[in-house]
Amino acid sequence: MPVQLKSTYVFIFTATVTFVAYSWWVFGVMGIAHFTGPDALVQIGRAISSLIILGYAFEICVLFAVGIFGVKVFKNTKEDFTLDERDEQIGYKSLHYSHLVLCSGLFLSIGALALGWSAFWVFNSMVLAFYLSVVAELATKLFLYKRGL
Amino acid sequence: MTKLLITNEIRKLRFENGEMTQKELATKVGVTRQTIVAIENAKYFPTLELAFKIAGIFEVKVDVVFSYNPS
Repeated sequence: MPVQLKSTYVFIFTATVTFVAYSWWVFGVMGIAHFTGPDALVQIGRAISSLIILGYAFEICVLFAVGIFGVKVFKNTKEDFTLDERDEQIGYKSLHYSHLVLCSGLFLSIGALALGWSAFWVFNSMVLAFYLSVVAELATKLFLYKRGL
Repeated sequence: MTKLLITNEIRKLRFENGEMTQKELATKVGVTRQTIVAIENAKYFPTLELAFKIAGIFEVKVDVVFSYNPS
């Protein structure tokens, strides 16, 4: 299996773990009641900032670990990690679909705000849109790598 | 509606050039082996630059390697 395909699976894993952990923390541990009242926006901001910082940190750590594992165990060389024109085109196409999903989600969230949804649900619908855009990007990559561009 | 179809003779040319492997060709033109596999199976159409590089490796013109057959 090419390194690019492996890293796509790793990204799916890290994105899912990150967003499941976020959902568990916000809805399970803290509870919706924590995000109501005068400090609601501050609490939501903290939760989303933590999601972004910890999510990226987790992703970077996992990618490094998988990269080192690949070099040590599978004897991957520098060439295996090199991206060529096909990888770039697959990347652009996946970003295109990711962008469409993200923009649709953001516009729907703005619409929900106009309909009177609380800030908590609007922010979380934006987070969901972000997650779905990541899923759309990675699913497109998997599809194009397997089926061809 | 016209369907575009670009076919190629890379597999044949590889075998005519000392049974060159996909990996060897990929290294010579600076792409991954998966890209050569995708091109051979007509799942990816290379850029002009890569098409010229591939033709250059086999020392033939581009239209010997790639053919355009609108059906």
